[in-house]
Amino acid sequence: MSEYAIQTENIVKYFDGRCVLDGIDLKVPQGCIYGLLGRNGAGKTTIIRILLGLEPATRGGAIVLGALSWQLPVSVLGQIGYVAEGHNLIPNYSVRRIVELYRNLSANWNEQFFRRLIETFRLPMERKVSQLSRGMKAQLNLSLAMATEPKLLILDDPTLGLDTVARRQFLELAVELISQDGRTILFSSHILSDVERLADRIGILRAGKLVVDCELEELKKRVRKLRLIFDDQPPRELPITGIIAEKRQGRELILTVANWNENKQTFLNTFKPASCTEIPMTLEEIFIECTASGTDAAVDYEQGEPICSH
Amino acid sequence: MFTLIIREIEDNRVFFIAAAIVAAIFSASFIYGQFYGIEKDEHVTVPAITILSGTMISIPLAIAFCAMGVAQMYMDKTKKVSSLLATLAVTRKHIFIARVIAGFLLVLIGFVPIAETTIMAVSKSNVSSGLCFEIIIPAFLLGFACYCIGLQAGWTSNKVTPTLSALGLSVVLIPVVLIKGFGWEIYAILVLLIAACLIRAWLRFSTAAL
Repeated sequence: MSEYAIQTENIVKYFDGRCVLDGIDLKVPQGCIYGLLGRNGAGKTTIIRILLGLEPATRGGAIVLGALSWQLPVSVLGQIGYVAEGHNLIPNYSVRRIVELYRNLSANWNEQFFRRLIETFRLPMERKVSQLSRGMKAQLNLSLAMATEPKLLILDDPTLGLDTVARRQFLELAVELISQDGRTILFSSHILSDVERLADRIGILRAGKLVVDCELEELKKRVRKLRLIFDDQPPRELPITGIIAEKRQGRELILTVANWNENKQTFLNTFKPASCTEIPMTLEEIFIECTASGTDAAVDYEQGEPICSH
Repeated sequence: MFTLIIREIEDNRVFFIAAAIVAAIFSASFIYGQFYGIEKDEHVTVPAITILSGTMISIPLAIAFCAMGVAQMYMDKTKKVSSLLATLAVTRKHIFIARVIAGFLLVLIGFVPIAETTIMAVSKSNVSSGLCFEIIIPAFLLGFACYCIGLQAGWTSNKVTPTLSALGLSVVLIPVVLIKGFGWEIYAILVLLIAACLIRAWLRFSTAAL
């Protein structure tokens, strides 16, 4: 078995002549909790659908749990749990019928765990899926995915539509699942505090390209926000690669720099700033800086330098 | 696989019920005619009546078979059924085979009572049983061919055009069989048509985004 639960190679996907994914090389190690981030339309759902064999890639391919994603055998499919964005459950089925379907078609169904989840969420078994609220659909979908005891759990924006309490319940369940050995989780979310809490590795998609693929701590180390104060006006141009954002105000220059290292620090010192202080960044701030349009990050990436890749 | 077949039957139970009702009406009419209805006439024989009425009944049945094929694929595409199933321990091949088996069962349910009635009618006359099977086998193939036409036409988000064209083709197929006559040529034509439709439907389904 490979050390990676998911490994993609140069995935390219076009929709109606529009490039949605542009050479994605994603590696998710076994036992890792991988947070896949990106703005709407960045290609997160498309990657996930390609990994599950629901969508063919235009070029490139992916290996999921040792099998080609486009031809996943039953033995591998049985080890994958999936919660689709928008909770894709058959609308005219009753909850009971959907549960029966999952129970009969899953390789490892944990009835006891499922019962516990259903009781926690208080889901009405006789109601039709189309009559469930968005939050209830999310709870049902999560319960079903988790009861299949997956080795790889793929969650596409799973907390979308959940209220704060339900979201917290989900996170607690996710943590419980994560605590079981050997589970790999790939999840995309717009709630970055959740991602920051759960993920140990982060991927950020920007316009179809994976501009970040590294551990969360590594990302925080390598993307730095610096406040530089100069005696006079700050230099007009700083010939440093990886400048994601730049803000000037009088003698002050605030820089966000990707792939931070000692060489860049030394080079910056040659401009003799009066002071140089680091501003701590949350994942949300890093995400905003990395994905905001018109930044130099994309230019750097096009020149072959991702913001953070390991 | 059993779960998938049951799911297909439950989702399309209206077609199974309709086919069973049509077949039952046909059989009941025949039995009634045998005992009460038809006066002796040297030009109107029982097998002739049976074949004529069988032909008439095959049109709504053919439409029902075709409609089920269309419905299976169309509902799958619009309600993203396979998109859900394919994320469980099920491959596209399983989904497709279960679907075709359900279609085959529908044709059997619609067809077996009619076939039995025809055999009964023929057994009471001096017509050879060979002729009986020459009619029954292509009629069964015709029903299954109509289903397969619907199956390959249904994988679309456009509801009207493929449905009407598939239904039209199914209805046209019946006179083709009647004009061409029963024999090995019609077996070959129908088997080829079935194979072509199934291969086309499988290629579309197996390569599509779910």
